[in-house]
Amino acid sequence: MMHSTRRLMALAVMLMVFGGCMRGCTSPRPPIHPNPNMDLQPKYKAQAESAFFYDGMTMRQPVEHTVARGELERDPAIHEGRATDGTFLADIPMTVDAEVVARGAERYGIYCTPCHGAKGDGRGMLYERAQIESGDLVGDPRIANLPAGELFDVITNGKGLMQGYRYPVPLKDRWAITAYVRTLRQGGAP
Amino acid sequence: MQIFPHWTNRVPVVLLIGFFGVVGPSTTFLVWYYFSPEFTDVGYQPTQPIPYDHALHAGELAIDCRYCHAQVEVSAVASVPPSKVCMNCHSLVKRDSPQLAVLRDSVANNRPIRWVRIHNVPDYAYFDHSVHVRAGVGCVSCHGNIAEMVVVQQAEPLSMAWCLDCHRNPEPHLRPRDQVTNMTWQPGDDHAALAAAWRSELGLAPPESCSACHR
Ligand code: HEC
Ligand code: HEC
Ligand code: HEC
Ligand code: HEC
Ligand code: HEC
Ligand code: HEC
Repeated sequence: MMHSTRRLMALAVMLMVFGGCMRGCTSPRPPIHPNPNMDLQPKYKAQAESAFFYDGMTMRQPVEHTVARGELERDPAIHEGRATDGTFLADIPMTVDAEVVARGAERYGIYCTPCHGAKGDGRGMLYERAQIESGDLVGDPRIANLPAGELFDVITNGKGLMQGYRYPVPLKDRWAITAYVRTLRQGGAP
Repeated sequence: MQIFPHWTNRVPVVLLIGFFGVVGPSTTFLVWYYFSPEFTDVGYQPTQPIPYDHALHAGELAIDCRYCHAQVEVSAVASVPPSKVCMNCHSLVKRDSPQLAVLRDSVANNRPIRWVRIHNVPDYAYFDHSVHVRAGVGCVSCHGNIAEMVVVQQAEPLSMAWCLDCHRNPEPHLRPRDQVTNMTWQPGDDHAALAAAWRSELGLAPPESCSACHR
C-alpha cells in the first residue's frame, strides 16, 4: 500500500517535470509569459491591429490627393518610361553598367522567374504546375522588341493577365530589371 | 511538563535543509527554465486563417522569400505580404479553391487578412531585419528551415541570451549575401576564413551594449 502511493507520487513529479511541453513540441496556443514585464505595451507596431481606427489597421493609408516626401512622380521619363509627348522611350533613361544589370538579374530571379522562368521563355513554375504561359520575353519577337519604356510600364502597371509590380519593386530596381530583360536575348550578358 | 515532543528538535534543521537544498534550487530551476522564452515561445504554431503552406510555395515551387516578404532587406520589419501579392498568382491558378475564399473576400472588400503573428520579441526590445540580412545572416539561422514547414512555427527562442550568443560570435552564421534566403546553403570547409574576411570587409560590429536593442 505505502509502496504504491510513493510510486504514484514519484510518477506525478516526473510527469510534471518531463511531461510538460518542452522544446521541440508545438502548440497552437499563444505563449503564456508567467512574468509579463512590459512585453506587451499599449503602442502600435507595424501591421498590427488597431481598436481605434475604423478600418482596424494601425498602418495608415496616405490621405487622398497627397504625396509622401520623395514620392512625387513628376518626371515622365524616369517614372513612366515615356517621353514628354507620351510615346514610350526606346532606351533606359539611366546609365546602365554591369552593376545595374547584375542587380536586375537578381531582382528578376526573385520577382519574375516564378512565371517567366529563368531563361525568360514564359515557362516558369506556373507553367509546370498549371500550364499557364506567361509572355515569352525571348522568343516572341513582339515582346522581345518592346521599347524599354513599354517594358518598364508592363513591370510597373502590369498588362492583361499580369499584375503590376509597382508595390514590391522600387523604381530603380524596375529599371534594373528592364535592363536585364533586354539582355536576356543575348543569354543574359549586357 | 513537555509541550513539544522530542522530534520537534529536528524541525529547524529539516526546514533549513529543505529550503536551501530542495525548494530553493528547484524553484530556481523551474523559473529559469519554464519562464524563459525557450520554453514559453518556441514551438508556437498558430492556426492561420488560410492554410497557407511555405513548404509548397517556398519549398516545392521555389518562390524566393523576398517575393512576399519584400521589405526584409530595407526595413526593420520583414512584413507579411498584402493580399494583392497572393493574387498575382491566384488570379491565374486555383482561382476557385475553397481554401482561398478568405483571400478573395479580402481582395474584394479591401480588408486585410488577419494572419496570426508568430515571432514577436517583447515591445521593449527592438529588432531590425535589414541590418542582419545585409550583414549576410541567413533567414534559416533565426527562423529554422521555413521551406520545410507546412505551418510556420517558432524555431528559436528569440531571447536576449540567444541574440547575444550570435552577436559575440557571428562568424558561423555568416554567408554570402546572395544566399541569405537560400534555406539549404551549406558552409564549405574554408568557411571560417571566408567568414572572417566578410566580417572585416563589411566592418560588422554586432552590438552588445544595452541601448542597441533597448531604447
Ligand atoms: C504571376 C505570374 C507573373 C509574374 C511574377 C510576372 N509576370 Fe509577366 N506576364 C505574366 C502573364 C500571365 C503574362 C501574359 C499577359 C497577357 O498576355 O495577358 C505576362 C506578360 C509579360 C510581358 C509581355 C507584355 C506584353 O506586351 O504582352 C512582359 C514584358 C512581362 N510579362 C514581364 C515581366 C517581368 C519583367 C516580370 C518581373 C518583374 C514579370 N513579368 C513577372 C505573368 C507574370
Ligand atoms: C508566397 C508568399 C510567401 C513566400 C514565398 C514566403 N512567405 Fe513567409 N509568410 C507568408 C505569409 C502569407 C505569412 C503569414 C502566414 C503564416 O504565418 O503562415 C508568412 C509568414 C512567415 C513567417 C512567420 C511570421 C510571423 O508571424 O512571425 C516567417 C518567419 C516567414 N514567413 C519566413 C519566410 C521565409 C524564410 C521564406 C523563404 C524561404 C518565406 N517566408 C517565403 C508568405 C510567404
Ligand atoms: C508565384 C505564384 C504564387 C503566389 C505568389 C502564391 N501562390 Fe499559392 N499557389 C501557387 C500555385 C502554383 C499553387 C498550386 C499548386 C498545385 O499545383 O497544387 C498554389 C496553391 C495554393 C494553395 C492551395 C490551394 C488548393 O486548393 O490546393 C493555397 C491555400 C495557397 N496557394 C495560398 C496562397 C496565399 C495565401 C498566398 C499569398 C501569401 C499565395 N498562395 C501566393 C502559386 C502561388
Ligand atoms: C538575426 C535573426 C533573424 C534573421 C536573419 C531573420 N529574421 Fe525574421 N524575425 C526575427 C525576429 C527576432 C522577429 C520578430 C521581430 C519582432 O517581433 O519585432 C522576426 C520576424 C519575422 C517576420 C514576421 C514579423 C515581421 O517582421 O514582419 C517575418 C515575416 C520574418 N521574420 C521573415 C524573415 C525572412 C524572410 C528572413 C530572411 C530574408 C528573416 N526573417 C531573417 C529574426 C530574424
Ligand atoms: C545569427 C546571428 C544573429 C542573431 C541571432 C542576432 N543578431 Fe543582431 N546582429 C548580427 C550581426 C552579424 C550584426 C552586425 C550588423 C552590422 O554591423 O552591420 C548585428 C547587429 C545588430 C544590431 C545593430 C544594428 C545597427 O544598426 O548597427 C541590433 C540592434 C541587433 N543586431 C539586434 C538583435 C536582436 C534584438 C536580436 C535577437 C532578437 C539579434 N540581433 C539576433 C547577428 C545576429
Ligand atoms: C542584442 C540585443 C540585446 C542587447 C545588446 C541587450 N538586450 Fe536585453 N533583451 C533583448 C531581448 C530580445 C529581450 C527579450 C527576451 C525575452 O523574450 O524575454 C531582452 C530582455 C531584457 C530584459 C528583461 C528580461 C526578462 O525576461 O525579464 C532585461 C532586464 C534586459 N534585457 C536588460 C538588458 C541590459 C541591462 C542590457 C545591457 C547589458 C541588455 N539588456 C542588452 C535584447 C538585447
